[in-house]
Amino acid sequence: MNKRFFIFIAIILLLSACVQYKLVETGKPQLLAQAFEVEPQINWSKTAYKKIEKWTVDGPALEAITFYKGYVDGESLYTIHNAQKNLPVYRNSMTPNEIMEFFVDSLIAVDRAGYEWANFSASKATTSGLRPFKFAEQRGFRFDLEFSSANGLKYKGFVIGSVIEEKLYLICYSGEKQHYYPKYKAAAEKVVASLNLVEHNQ
Amino acid sequence: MIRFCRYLPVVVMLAFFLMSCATAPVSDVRPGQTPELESDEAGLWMHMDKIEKKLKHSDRIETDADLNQYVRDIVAKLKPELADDLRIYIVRTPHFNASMAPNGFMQLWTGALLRCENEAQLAYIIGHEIGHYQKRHSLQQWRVMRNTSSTLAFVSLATAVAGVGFVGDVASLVAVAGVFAYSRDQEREADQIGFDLMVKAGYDPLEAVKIWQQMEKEREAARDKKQFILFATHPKAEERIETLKTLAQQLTGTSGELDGFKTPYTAATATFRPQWLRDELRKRKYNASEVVLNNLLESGADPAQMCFFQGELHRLRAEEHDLKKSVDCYAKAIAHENTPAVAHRSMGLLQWKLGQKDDAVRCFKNYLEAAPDASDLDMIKAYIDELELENE
Repeated sequence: MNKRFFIFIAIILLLSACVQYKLVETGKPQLLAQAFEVEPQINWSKTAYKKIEKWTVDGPALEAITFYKGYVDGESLYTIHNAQKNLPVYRNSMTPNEIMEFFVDSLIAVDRAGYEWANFSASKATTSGLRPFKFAEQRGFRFDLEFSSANGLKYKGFVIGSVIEEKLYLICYSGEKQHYYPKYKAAAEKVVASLNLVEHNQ
Repeated sequence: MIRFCRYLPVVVMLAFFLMSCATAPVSDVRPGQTPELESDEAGLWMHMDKIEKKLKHSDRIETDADLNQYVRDIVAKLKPELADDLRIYIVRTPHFNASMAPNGFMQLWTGALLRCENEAQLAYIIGHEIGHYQKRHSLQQWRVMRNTSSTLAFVSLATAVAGVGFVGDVASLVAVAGVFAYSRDQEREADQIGFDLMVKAGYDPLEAVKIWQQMEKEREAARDKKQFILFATHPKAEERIETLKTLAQQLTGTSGELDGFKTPYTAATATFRPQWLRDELRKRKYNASEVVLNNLLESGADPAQMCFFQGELHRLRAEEHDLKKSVDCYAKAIAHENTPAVAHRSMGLLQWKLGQKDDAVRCFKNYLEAAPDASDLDMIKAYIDELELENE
């Protein structure tokens, strides 16, 4: 084996270390935050960081389901080095209207801090259609979301959420408005419909 | 970093190319003038053209045709002979700033538009930036930098320009705006030009003084002084206020009728103000934003809207006494006939938290009456049902 081969292998290993996606297989229930189970109806690829888990098929810049798993009073949705104090903070006293505001303000704050939110820009993010929604048979809410990429490509999404035992759970499905959002919306809805609260401390 | 690497060869070539040129005296720009193809200025323009192209397609650009036309009309009023050479981009960013690139594109941030009380103040800001363009200050700065700094410093400046090619977040917009940090003398010259242009166009120059006084008040109130981007590159506000005051006083009685042109400014910006105010609050710099809101209220902005946003500020800051202040502000907003419908909703949510369930229900019902097509209609109805059930 020559030197070039080893360099090639080293690069491949380096790249694979950066991505860290895992397969989420059809029909295999997935545990979220030790609190919920969901059953995917298609294969997804997942990646996770702290309390955020992201599933995608064609890539997060095209579509993704993002799970925000169990935020307690005083926590921010994202973690940003050196800019944490500029991020909105979740409060248990928040109503669904305020949680919707907290969510979109968090996206905008991350955007302003210079961090790319999966290559999206939230500066003009808008929400609408806040309504009650059953979240794993618990009392929850749902709203719609629109935003764009930094160079103007339009995106659409929906967010569902609930506060259960003083922890905030949110699930956001979003995708490029014209093609990718509709392409996997039904699959995302099935994931949401499969949400099932599991017994604690199992 | 990837972007940096992509631009690095271009930047280094540009840097060495520019270093090989000799410093020459810079004359005022002439209408329609473009740099000679092989000049250092052409290299600078070429690079700024690339940045402008990115900016043009950024989702941060405010594209409303009427608002853009209104701003272009002010440019034409101030300096008709250069109006065709200048392109203005209204950038949705809630900080007070404006900047002029050497190739004639100007960034005007919505934070500046929010803070202007009238057209005269905006005309002063635009006139000041026209001054930089007319005197080709950025080219002068570029050459001074090249001749007085080390090669390393010069290349780092060039890479700073290259690195902002993606124009997206606030930091990169600041980098574009601040890369040509003008000397104080250049700023003074631009101030003088801005002043002269505004007076010639019939604007009251005392309005220029007011905007600096206002910015100084805002800076004093802020906990984090670093957020004031403009103060990092401009002369001290006190100096500027004194100079502009003196100039304005010298003019008294010599320039005929001068006006602030408040009515056309309000008409052109009223639709956007709620969004700009929301952006302002999203900065989470509440002490400084409080000064902005108070000033707008004092200067005659719609009291219902201002009181509502003051209430929002207190609700979001949520420090000691803020809850009570928030209720008071919403109450003041609601007392006006033209109050935004959402003021009723915000008041309802607060009353609910305070345990005033009947009041909360009443506010929610008022909200639905004022906004029967509200997109959160079902959620508000659910709140009412829940509260009424608890009251039974």
